[in-house]
Amino acid sequence: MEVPDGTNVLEAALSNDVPLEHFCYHRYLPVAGNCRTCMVEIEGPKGAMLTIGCNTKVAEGMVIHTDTPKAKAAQKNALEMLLLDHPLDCPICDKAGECKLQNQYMEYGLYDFRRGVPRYFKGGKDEDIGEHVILDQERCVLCTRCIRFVDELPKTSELGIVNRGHESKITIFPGARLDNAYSGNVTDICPVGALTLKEFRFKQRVWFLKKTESVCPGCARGCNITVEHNRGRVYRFMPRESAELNKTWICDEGRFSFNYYQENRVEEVRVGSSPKTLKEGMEQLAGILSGLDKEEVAAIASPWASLEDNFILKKLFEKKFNVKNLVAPLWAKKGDTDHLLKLAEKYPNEQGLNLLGIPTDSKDFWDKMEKGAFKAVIVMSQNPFGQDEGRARKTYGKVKTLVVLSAHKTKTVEQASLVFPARPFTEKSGTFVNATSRLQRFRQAIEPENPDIVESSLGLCRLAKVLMVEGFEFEDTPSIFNAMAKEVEVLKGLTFHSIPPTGKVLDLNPIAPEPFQGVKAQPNVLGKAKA
Amino acid sequence: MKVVQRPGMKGPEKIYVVEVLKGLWLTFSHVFYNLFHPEKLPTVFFPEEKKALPPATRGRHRLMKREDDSPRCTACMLCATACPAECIHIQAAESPDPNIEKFPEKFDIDMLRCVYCGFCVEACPLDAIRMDIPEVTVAGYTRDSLVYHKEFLMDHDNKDVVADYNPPRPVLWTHGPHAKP
Ligand code: SF4
Ligand code: SF4
Ligand code: SF4
Ligand code: SF4
Ligand code: FES
Repeated sequence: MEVPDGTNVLEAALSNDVPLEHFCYHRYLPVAGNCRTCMVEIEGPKGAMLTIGCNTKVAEGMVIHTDTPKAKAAQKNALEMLLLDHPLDCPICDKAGECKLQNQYMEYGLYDFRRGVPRYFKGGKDEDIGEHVILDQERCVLCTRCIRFVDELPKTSELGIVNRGHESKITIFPGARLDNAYSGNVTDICPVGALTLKEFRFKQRVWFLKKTESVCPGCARGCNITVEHNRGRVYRFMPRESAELNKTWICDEGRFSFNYYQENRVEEVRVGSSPKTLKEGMEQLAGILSGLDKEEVAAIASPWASLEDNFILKKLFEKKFNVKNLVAPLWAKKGDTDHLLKLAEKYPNEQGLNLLGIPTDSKDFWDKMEKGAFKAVIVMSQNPFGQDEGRARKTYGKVKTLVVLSAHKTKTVEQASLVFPARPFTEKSGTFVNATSRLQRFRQAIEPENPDIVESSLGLCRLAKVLMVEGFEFEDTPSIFNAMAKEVEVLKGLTFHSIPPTGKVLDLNPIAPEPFQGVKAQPNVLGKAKA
Repeated sequence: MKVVQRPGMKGPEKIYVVEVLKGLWLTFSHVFYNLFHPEKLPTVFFPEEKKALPPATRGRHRLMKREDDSPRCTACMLCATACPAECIHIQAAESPDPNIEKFPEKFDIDMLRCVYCGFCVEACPLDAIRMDIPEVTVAGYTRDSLVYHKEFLMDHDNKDVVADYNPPRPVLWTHGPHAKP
């Protein structure tokens, strides 16, 4: 097998589907080599010798055995050692189902304990160590992954080990709390159930959760995530590995935003104050729009909406109205940018607007609107005045028909004369282009119960059909993307399903620096063998 | 292959009326016998009267309690995982005792869906759910009344649990808060 220079033995095995146990090794953290479960036999001048795989770099002509009786025995003994004082009450433990220790125990476990002395109870079953994290001392296997994470990435170093021997335990430093902006990640990398999230603890067993490939819309970084859901409800967002972007990390803000997408939702089509079906709503809207001059209709596109939504809105304005009356104001309050992932710009798809050529400078647009130049305005997934009700009332007051497509109840929805419920990103498929020009795909996780809740793009397609505009015969998002790829230069040759799971960098100017500035986010060489 | 002929009707059998009268004679002999010897009736006047069910009858579920009357169940959801009818709905919550960790805040069994397979009992690592309350006629007027809640499932002190039939079960926890009393 031939792997890149500098790959370690464990990584060479893992990247090429050779099973080898490990606990303390994490692909994106420095090697510690303290669990000793990755023992392999390497042939040398003095015969085969046992050594740990994670801290041994491969060399030319090296002969490595992972499953000789001696290597297996060494792996098994290391595991037995880790299990000496472990409670092994997997049915209660929240990690069960995704726990490395449980998996290994099932495979190698000595089902009869050989412990001759009474078990040592470390105590500390639910230590509250941070805003989001709970520590269970008894379950910890002292792999130090969590310590290495807080030392290397957020560089906040809240965690350490105290005491010695079987009494050693993980703890927060006096006065410190695990409250950094990335603290949720320690619960993902903890190989056992020692660190758990308050927000997810005991909510669901992990084997009930269905996982859908997605992208975090929390900021312009667009970290890769999986949406984990069961019976129409999202229970957590988990980072999805992307060697080129977020590695295996996401920020807490993104991780805990899952409830935002299922609360405070617009539930039904509304005309004035009376609920309507989607068909009736669309017919009324089409009736109003066809009675207007094309200069009197305007629209607000959105950096939160997918590429498909914006594309369809723009296309509709090109064909039926005046595309000059289309704008996507960027109004959100800036957050913090840090050296890891978070970006101050909270728009997941600002680059998508640049790609489609939708202007973001909205000054003229507002002036025109306040002068009463527009009779009807379509607002898609936007709430440009935030909580400022006075401003919203003043500006929208000049518009006779305010049409809003929105997933959430906002101040704009309150002012609207026609409201169409939209779907948040968890309920539809689509694409975003992140700040570093990476085109990324997200897939639909859940299907809303009400069939009148449709994606904005498909809703606009229906409107186009009622208005009898040609070219909007789309049934789903992938076909919209494929049609868009034929029209837009930088997307040429792509199809929705051919976008790689970790995205594709487009030929666009990035609007933010690469992530992980000034930290070594990739301490280990990833060793996929050359074909 | 041997072809068996149906025995045809012979002689007086062919006169239909005779056979009918024979049948009626049998029926009426029982009617009058029962009328004059009611004490010898083999029928049980269900539901006023109930037969004693044999031990090990698989009846309806009950949730076992700890010594302090809290549920023994730790909301591990293994029963809900094993249940082929997907009729067990559990909502876990943080237990006040950190050693117990969690307990079922809600524990509902939808008896309308339950197929009485007993997998939930098999799956439970804590022997917290048993199917030994000898009620085999689960009936109700509304659907909701047949979704049994935790309180109902734990209220079994004055029900005659089948002769306290306790077959030996594997003990998984030998120490700690989940060990059996
Ligand atoms: S808490 Fe988890 S990640 Fe940290 S040392 Fe213990 S087992 Fe490892
Ligand atoms: S850094 Fe941005 S994209 Fe990544 S998880 Fe956080 S909010 Fe989401
Ligand atoms: S008896 Fe079978 S169907 Fe009924 S609750 Fe138990 S596992 Fe489910
Ligand atoms: S298997 Fe037993 S302990 Fe687990 S949830 Fe069901 S009844 Fe409770
Ligand atoms: S993974 Fe190699 S020593 Fe832990």
